[in-house]
Amino acid sequence: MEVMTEKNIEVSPHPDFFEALFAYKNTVSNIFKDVLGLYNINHIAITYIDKLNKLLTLSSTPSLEFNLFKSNLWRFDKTYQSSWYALCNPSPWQSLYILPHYKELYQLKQIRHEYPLGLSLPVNTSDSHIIYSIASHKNCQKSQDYFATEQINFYKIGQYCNNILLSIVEKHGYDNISLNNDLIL
Amino acid sequence: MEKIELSQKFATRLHDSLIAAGHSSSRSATGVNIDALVNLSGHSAQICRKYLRGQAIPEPLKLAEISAKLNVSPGWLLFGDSPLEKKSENVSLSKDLLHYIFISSAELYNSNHDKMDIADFLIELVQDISQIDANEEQLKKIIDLSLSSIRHFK
Repeated sequence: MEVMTEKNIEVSPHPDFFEALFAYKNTVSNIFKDVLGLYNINHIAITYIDKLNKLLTLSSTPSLEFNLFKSNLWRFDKTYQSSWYALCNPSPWQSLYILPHYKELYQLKQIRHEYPLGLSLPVNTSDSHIIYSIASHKNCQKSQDYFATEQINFYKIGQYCNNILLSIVEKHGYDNISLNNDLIL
Repeated sequence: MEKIELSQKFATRLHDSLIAAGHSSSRSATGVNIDALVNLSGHSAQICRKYLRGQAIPEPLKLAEISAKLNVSPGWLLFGDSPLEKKSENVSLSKDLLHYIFISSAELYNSNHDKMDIADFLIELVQDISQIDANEEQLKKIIDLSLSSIRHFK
């Protein structure tokens, strides 16, 4: 039987990656604050991958992505691998850590930054990709239920924030990445 | 809460706290260094394994002793529903960096910004900076960048 496998495309951080994490902090933080708290969500980040396979992230907790990318651990997180995000399947954070670095990623994202529950939710557009990372400080049954059953609403939350943040990412050359509502709603 | 559920959740928090304190082990099935827990608790390896499997909970005095050594509260270790809950309320930052933030942000209080918004923004900034792995020079650049985002906001 022939098995179809997604070819992994090399991606890399945009030259403005670290600057963009903090340069819009006030605006980005105010946009994300509108939705933080819903479904016990305490962290949202949106990663944009353009047609040149450059990554740019805007985050409610930029320290997390700063540490992830400065330490190069992101290379072992399938969240940022095309073989995963091209398939458009939401996945719990733990399922995306590549084994030799599983503990380091778990330690950084889920213990140190205190997000025991986390989901990565990818969306494909015509020639680019968007990944919503959504996480909670809580690991109670209610939060686990939300993260298991409300993924459609998590996508809507991500899309709502994305629509407002587009003007920022366009400054870094990310255009034509607005989403058709039919993709999700 | 059922006792079995309580002991299993205690085991999860104990496991996470041990890893957060740097006591992980790739050779152990539980992922944590059992010898570290033996040293912390003064109990035998057999009892420590029971703690990590959710088969037993330490007596209150021992619980307090273990939690103090792991820098978490005993109440959280036993009942908390989110990992390292205690830490979320506390931030640790060097005096130099805090001084730099105070000086760099002083002008904001003379602007048209709402003072509560400024305070909330600065608390968030301090939390971010306290979590970032970078040297002081890089952290000061991040502080400058972040503060520029509120200065330019009308």
